[in-house]
Amino acid sequence: MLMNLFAEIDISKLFGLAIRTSIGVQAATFALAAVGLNLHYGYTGLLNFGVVAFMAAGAYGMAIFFTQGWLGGSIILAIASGLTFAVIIALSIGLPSLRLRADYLALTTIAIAEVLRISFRSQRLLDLTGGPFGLPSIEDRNASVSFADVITIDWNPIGKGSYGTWFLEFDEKTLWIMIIGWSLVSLASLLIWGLMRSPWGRVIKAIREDEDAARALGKNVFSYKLQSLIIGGVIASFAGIVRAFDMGFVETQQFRPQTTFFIWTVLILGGAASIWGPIIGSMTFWFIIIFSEELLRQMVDSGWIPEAILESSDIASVRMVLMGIMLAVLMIWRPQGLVGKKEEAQIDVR
Amino acid sequence: MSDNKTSELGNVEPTPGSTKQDPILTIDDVVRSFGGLRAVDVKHLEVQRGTITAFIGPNGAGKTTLFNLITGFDKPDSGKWKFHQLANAKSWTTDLSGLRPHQIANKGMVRTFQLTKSLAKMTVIDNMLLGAAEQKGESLRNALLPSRWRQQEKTILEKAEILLERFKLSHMRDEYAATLSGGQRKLLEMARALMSEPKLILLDEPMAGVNPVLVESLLVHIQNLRDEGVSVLFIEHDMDAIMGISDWIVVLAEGRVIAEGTPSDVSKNPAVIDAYLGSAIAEELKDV
Amino acid sequence: MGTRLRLISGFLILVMGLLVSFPVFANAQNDNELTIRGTVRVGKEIIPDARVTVSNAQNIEIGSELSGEDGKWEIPIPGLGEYTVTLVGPLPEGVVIRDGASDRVTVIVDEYKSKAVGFQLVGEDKKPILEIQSTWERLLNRMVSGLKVGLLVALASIGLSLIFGVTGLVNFAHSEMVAFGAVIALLLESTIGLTGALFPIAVILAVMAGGGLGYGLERGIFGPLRRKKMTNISLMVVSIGLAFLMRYLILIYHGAEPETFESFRIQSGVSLGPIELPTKDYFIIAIALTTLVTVGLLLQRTKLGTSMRAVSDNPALAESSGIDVNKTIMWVWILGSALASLGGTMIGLTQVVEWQMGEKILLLMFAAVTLGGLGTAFGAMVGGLAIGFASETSTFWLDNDLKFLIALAVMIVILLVRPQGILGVRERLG
Repeated sequence: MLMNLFAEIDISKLFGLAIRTSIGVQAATFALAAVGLNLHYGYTGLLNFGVVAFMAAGAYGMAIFFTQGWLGGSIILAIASGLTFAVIIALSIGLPSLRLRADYLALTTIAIAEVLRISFRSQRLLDLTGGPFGLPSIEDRNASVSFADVITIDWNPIGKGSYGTWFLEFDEKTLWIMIIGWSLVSLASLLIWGLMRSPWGRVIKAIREDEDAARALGKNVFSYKLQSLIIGGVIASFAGIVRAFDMGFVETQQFRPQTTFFIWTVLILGGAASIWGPIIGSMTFWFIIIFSEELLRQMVDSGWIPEAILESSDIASVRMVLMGIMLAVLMIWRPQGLVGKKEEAQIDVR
Repeated sequence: MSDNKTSELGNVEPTPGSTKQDPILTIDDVVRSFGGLRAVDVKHLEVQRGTITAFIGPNGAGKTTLFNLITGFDKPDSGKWKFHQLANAKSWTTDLSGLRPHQIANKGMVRTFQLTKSLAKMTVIDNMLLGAAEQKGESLRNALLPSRWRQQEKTILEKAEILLERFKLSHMRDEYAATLSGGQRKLLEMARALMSEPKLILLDEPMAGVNPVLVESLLVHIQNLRDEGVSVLFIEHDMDAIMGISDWIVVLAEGRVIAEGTPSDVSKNPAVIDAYLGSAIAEELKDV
Repeated sequence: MGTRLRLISGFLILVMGLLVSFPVFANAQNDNELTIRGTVRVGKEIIPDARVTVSNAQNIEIGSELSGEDGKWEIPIPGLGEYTVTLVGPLPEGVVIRDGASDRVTVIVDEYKSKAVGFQLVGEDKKPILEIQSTWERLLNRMVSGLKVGLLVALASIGLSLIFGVTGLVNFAHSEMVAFGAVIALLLESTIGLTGALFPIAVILAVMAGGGLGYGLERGIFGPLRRKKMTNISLMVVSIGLAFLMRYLILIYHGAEPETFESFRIQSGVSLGPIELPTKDYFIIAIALTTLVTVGLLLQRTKLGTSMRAVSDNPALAESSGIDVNKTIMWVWILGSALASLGGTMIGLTQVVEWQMGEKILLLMFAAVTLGGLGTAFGAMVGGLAIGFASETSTFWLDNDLKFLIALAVMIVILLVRPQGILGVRERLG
């Protein structure tokens, strides 16, 4: 029986798809957002449940400025506007709420992220944000015109064509965005590494451990937290921008709270408070997700799993179930994740 | 105790709110109430420079609350307190009221906590390095440019090693602070506070939960501090320790200063005996 | 510094708010947008204030609107494709869907112009005359409906607040108990035929199942983890994982299709003075009110209630005065989850039962408990009422999709200004 099963499973496809996704743009953007969250939560101890707010700010800021043709319709200035918007979000989250207790901060951040998303989605903002339909407009999308074109076509140094073999074959657009995404991940990780080995990073870690101790030693805790929120927020907003370039459009559906918790899972899986954690976490996360999905799909298709238990149309939901299980199980049995230090992993922010 | 600062105290009246010749800290009309209850109500208090001053009083007397207030960790309903950085120079004073904790610490007035706040998931040496004040590398501008802070870091590191040696913690240098014993944590917290070279150090029950052998060395450390010119203000319940090392004792009860004076003054003071009547400390006081 | 900072942050929030709200309230009218539209009416009589929703082929709700004073509604859609338009109601007294017709119409939009959709309604007994309600009557009706939503949010939130009170856990999985209750009741109704007069049995069984789930979670997961000395923050993350697990298991086994309880499809309205509501709403309001009063009495008058409040105030003190803390916590979980299930079935009755209903109510509940004060049952009741009422009534003036903003804004402001909530006690520092 078991032999039969193996005979029907396409192992090459199973691994091929899983590896493809784990090095793909999605993994890069999740890693990037997780690098930002790592600074917030892993190092500073800020319980930011509003990661998507920063991603949305970056993506929408860029998309709005570009599609409206403000600032001369320059994509670079549009990106800069997205980042500025992220800084404004960081300030308006941070200034009032950084004094709150950890769990209150969590509620405030998730609420602010939702306020932002619902506002973007509002039909009254249709002209600016495209409301529920996002940007670019339906007409543009039907005509295959997007703000991503400048990056993916005009500025793409890679010649038209298909690169790689097996399941790892990418067209020039995807490859280019992958390169941009992973470069940004490396740069951001390098930045965090540099910061965390400096005396600045020492203060940040001390704040995670005990704010009052840091205060008693003359450190301006509030200011450090705000700096952390801004730097991590800008990194996360880059993730939103890269994702927008990859997909070619922005839509509020991309910024639901569940995306925040995807990124939390990535971070905790890899290991909070470690430089490699977000990267390893994101790659492993996507590998596990796609591998399990594909395995289930093949098992359902070959009749190994009866329809009564799982229909093939439900497989996409399995991803979320897996994420839920991963988050809970990791938190209980391996809070340090794959590469984090056990000693630094127990979380006891107040 | 031949230090001239401490001998100056001999001429001070042992009455609540008495004037000192060279105060480092003066407190005026500081009031803090919790739901109608006046936890702290200090009319006037001066702390003499270069001495070891102890706050004593029964539980709930407001000692820790007063500490929290003057270090900025809690806000008083009203009141002012001033810090005199330089000896005999009343002009060089800073009004500390309304400042935030880190600002007060940066003026040279550093505290420790009753429940130690050693940073458990950082190493002992990182704990120490954190204590140093005015580090260039702590500003975001310089953090990514090690050339700007490497030199200072080296100096700080040397200072930290010396202090660790002195507090007998060198062998734990690279261990996580979580692995230290309760007593060692108290030592670490005190050593860490000294990294910033404070003018006045406030110790909240430094001996609580520390084993008797370590208590001895802690007392020596506190006296050494005084001899090096650091003023010490501490809260303690251990009467033997207080009577042994304090130059001046301030007695609080129900938030008020009910007496102050040298150890011998205080132990003879009928108001103090009254306040403690029935409590175990009263018994101990009589023995002294 | 403190004051200055507060001023700056206040200013920033104000600017942010204006930035967001200016275009939001500027009533942007778009001429050439793609919409589905229609008029709710019986013959020539138009029906205002009936809710119409549009979902796409994946059953994701695209938009929802109440018919205007002229009975008209118009909902923008993202592009060409197949859409399902549902008339949720309520309909005035005596008006029903024509036999053989449905409250749900599927339309295919295949060209770039607005698509008109109508529902087949008839006046019962050919009673043709419908009075158009005056504005204040409509407002009054909206307020009563707000009261109903408020009561249900209160019902569902009590457990969230109580569990936080006795354990310190912010339980993100609480919302899924709401969905769980509704889905169980629906399952019982459709599979073993607890319809019509038997329906209350389905509700009672669903409530018991909810209590059982609460027992299971405390017994199997949160109790042991708490004893393992896991921090509340870690437990909160665990609860988030659980929430996703539960939510998507419901999706897989219940399906994506929103459903309504067979026993109470669209009911015609019953007038009570100027108020006109479907019959079921009167029952829902009565049940919710009775339950809230009972829970209040339980907390105030019984030994169990006293221990719950004592543990909530100070667990150590409660323990030393002879209260079995673990047992109390267990009962809080059971009671809280059972109430969430009840709230869920009631919400399912007034709207639809769907896998996302937990997600949709989660932030409303957080808003309710923070407004009332995390940890206090009465806070959750007051907060729930206020949040439900405010967000529902706001649709009288604001777009439907903005009603969550009201709740979230209240929550953010409360967290910033008075994190302990209106009924909570301020924590002592140090």
